[in-house]
Amino acid sequence: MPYTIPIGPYHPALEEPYKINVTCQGENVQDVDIAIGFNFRAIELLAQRRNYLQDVTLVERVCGICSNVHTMTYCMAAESIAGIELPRRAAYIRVIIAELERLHSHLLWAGVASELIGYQTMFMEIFALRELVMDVLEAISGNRVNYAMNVIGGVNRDINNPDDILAAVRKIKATVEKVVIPIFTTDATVKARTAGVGILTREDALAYGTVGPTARASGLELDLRCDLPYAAYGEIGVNRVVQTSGDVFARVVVRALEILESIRLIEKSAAEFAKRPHPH
Amino acid sequence: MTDYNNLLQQLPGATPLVQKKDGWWMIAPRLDVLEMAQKMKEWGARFSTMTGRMISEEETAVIYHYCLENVAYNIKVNTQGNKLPSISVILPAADWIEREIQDLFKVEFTGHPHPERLLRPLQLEPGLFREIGGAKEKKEN
Repeated sequence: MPYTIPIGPYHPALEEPYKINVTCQGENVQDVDIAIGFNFRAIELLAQRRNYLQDVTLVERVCGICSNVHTMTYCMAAESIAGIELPRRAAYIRVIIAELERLHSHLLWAGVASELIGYQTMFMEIFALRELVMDVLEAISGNRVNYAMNVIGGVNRDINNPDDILAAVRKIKATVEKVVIPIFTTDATVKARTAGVGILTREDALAYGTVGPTARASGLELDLRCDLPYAAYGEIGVNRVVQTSGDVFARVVVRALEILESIRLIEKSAAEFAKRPHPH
Repeated sequence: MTDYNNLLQQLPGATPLVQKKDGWWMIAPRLDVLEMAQKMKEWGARFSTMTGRMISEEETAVIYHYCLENVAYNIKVNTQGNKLPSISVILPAADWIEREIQDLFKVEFTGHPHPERLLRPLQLEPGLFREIGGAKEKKEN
């Protein structure tokens, strides 16, 4: 006999307020009803009542995890409309910040995933790595979140100590290679809870307009950094990470490999960026 | 290589495509959106999102955004009586955004599989983005 568990809209396991009614048969989820809108802020309406510069601050607050990408894309749109060319040093700084943000987002996801499957020690290990990223972002921008790095036509702050960034990301790389990836890909308990679970087929991923690592874990070779390069991604070159099994395991592997790719991009950006002097 | 531009311009109600900085644009107020969605699905396009924009007290422009072989296609259609056929049955990715546009612009997407409100509390009238000055409380009868 199926049973329904209501979760939310406010619950310790939810990052944001939403309500889900999960219909289960034993341990299998058969159906889910989702209700959202508990935190509706009418960002688009607010944006229409501010000027272009004020809107940068507004769109930074669309999301606390991925604040940078919102200001970056907003600034790119405004630069395109105004015909402004981004200085190359600023383009490399945008890549470094974007990849640091991706690192902390992927590590957050991996940490939360570990916690959800009951692997508390892994959760703490990963969140300790995430702290390193947060420290770097704070050192660069003064903020752990909402970094306020982007402005129309460039960036608000220079990066003065790229070596500090490199030291932090190399530490992350060592732990991800030696601890996180081996455990996530070989541990029997982790595999039992991820392999073959929650399969999103390639066909469904396309039908539902999926993007990002979720799409790439279902075999869709989508990556805007490769397909329509922006900032300095065209010069640096991005290696696409794609898996085809479409299960939770594939989504873990994509993110794990993308962590390493982000670190490679940060290392390469830092080297290139050092060749381009500050304009002042 | 398939000439998608030519095929798109043959859809019922289509108008010529115009290339802009952000991709191809078609302003086709009376386009057959169900046929558009069906063809886009067949061609393997990714449905990105939709944008609503109030064009008069009664009507709304709805822009369908697709990504087809890494090229953006933006197709602008007008509602008739503030209604449009729902494409969610063909492209499920449109499900939530049609409901959002229903909430914000009061557009009715006919044939939507479950046209419940998505974003805003049920006690508020839909159409927040149609109103100058913000949400209007539902009037008591």
